[in-house]
Amino acid sequence: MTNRRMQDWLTGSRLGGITLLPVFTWYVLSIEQIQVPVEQQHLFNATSLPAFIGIGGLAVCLWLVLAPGDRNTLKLADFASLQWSRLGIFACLMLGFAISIERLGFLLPGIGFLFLGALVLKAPSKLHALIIATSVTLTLWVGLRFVVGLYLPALGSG
Amino acid sequence: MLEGLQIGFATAFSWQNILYLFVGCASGTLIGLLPGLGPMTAIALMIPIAAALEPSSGIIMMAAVYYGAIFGGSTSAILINAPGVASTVATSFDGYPMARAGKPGKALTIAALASFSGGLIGALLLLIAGPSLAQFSLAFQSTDYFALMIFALTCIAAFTTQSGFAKALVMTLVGLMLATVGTDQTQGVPRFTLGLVDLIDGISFLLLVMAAFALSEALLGVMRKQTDTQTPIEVDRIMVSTDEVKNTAAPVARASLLGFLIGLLPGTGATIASLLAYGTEQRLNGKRQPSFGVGSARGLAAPEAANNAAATGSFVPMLSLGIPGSGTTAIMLGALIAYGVQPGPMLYVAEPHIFWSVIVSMWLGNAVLLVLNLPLIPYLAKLLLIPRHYLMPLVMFFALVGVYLVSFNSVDLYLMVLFGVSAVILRVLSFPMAPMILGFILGGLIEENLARSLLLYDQSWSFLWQRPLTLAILLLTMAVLLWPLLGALQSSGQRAR
Repeated sequence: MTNRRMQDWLTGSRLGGITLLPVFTWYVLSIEQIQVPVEQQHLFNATSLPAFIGIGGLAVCLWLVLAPGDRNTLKLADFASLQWSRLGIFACLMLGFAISIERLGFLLPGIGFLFLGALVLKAPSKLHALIIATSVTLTLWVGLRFVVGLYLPALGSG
Repeated sequence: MLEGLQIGFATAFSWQNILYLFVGCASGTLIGLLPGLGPMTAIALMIPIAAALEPSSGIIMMAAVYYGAIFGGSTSAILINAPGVASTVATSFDGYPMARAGKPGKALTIAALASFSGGLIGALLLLIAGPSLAQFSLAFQSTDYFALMIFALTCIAAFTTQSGFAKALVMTLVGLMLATVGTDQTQGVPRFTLGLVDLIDGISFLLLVMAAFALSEALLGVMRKQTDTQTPIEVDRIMVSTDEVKNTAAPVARASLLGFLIGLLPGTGATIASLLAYGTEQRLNGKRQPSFGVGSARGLAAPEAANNAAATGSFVPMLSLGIPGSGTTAIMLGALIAYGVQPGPMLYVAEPHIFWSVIVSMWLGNAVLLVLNLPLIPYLAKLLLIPRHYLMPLVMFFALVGVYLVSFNSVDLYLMVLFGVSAVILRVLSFPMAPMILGFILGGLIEENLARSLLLYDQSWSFLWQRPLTLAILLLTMAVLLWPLLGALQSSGQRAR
């Protein structure tokens, strides 16, 4: 298949179908790991709905991949026009926030996330970004602590 | 009904609930105003705060967020021609030309008054329809509920216009699939937990909603190449003349009724209501000047009234039957379940203060929305100038903190990042998120009611045809599903002839 034909074939529906196919395959294969007690093995039990969903999902995914009359016109060019590197960077920033919030407390990860996020998005002034990040995080922490009554350790695991 | 109204007024008029109503209206307007962040994102972002409140206060606040966000969406549609959500697209048809013609304040006031009237008429109709339907559905058994939940799944038909039926269907199945993660409610068996203790209780509804809407919306916002942002038009005087009010009164009344009736149907909602109201008024307007599309007050007022009335109408199936009428009410339904409140007719009997206070708060909320927003319109418009490099990280930050505050568990944040990134990929490929939420909410309810029905009928499926109400609902479901198919077959037959 030439590159051009490949691009015409690979529409949004097909790409989505291909993405979801392994998920539903894993799901169907995992059903047999569900251990239903012998006395509860009725016609409808804990595996029935998952089996219906899994098989239905596989069928619809195959339909999406194989359907000839796909109306979706999304092509790889549209897909590529997005800045995917930013998705990766922000995913890393969020993971960093998730890891550090339990070790460093709320303030530093919060300020770090907002400041670095603004820098990735090309904020014109670093100082301005730092001031906004600090003030938002501090205001939120104070609001949660003294207005809502939720205590998040400010620094360290508390 | 009078007794119920008394309970509703007593609950809704407590100073705390009025405060939450103000907070909900203001937050909803602020979030809805920002292009791309619609009512679903607004409600998702507010759930962590609402979760800390009493169920009645929480649901009042979320309802206020809902219609606040719809109004906020209209403001950005009028001022910068950027309807943040589909339901305000029709508002921009005449709202933006009116603003460009030097009357932005007037356009916003007409929109506010029409929204207010639509919400008010909708709440009045809700007062009549809600309790009647709830009383009727008190006779429902779990078999009928099972059939009703299946009927609610036909709601996905509403998401097929833009994305195709198969995509909406597969997303519903993804939602159903995610609902099965965790301990099975009927037999107590762990399913798909990957051996993780954190998944024993299943996937958090809040986490899923935040990832699918707030996080993915913000991530998509940072991935799109920066385009020239339109500068909002400076808002001047906001007064409207008596003639303009008289001129728009009839379209507002018609659109409100139409909007409410459309809002009642599962899966239709505010978008269809506003477009239909606009089309109807355009036909009725005929050759009268100014014509639609160039800044007609009637063309602006009708969709605004319709989308607010439809938003109110979608509360009827949620409150009375426990089935979501739209993606937004699906989120609210999930929040109610998370509170431990069982929506449906039993809500009317067991928790009347919630049922009635929501209805009463709709009137109060619409008044608050008007009082709060009219004087603030010129200042609210300035929010449209928040630079993207601060706004998008802020939305992500609030979403992450919101989820963390509920569980204080980092694993939820890891899962949220995973779901958020997956949601971005699926949304880029035009896979809608609302059917997934619908599937997630209904999955547990379907399984629970089916298991209960089978228990009642001694593991026999005969309840499907033995109980007339169950059978009637299932036949209705089939009719709803087959109707478009029959229409398509008929039109292709006509083309062939």
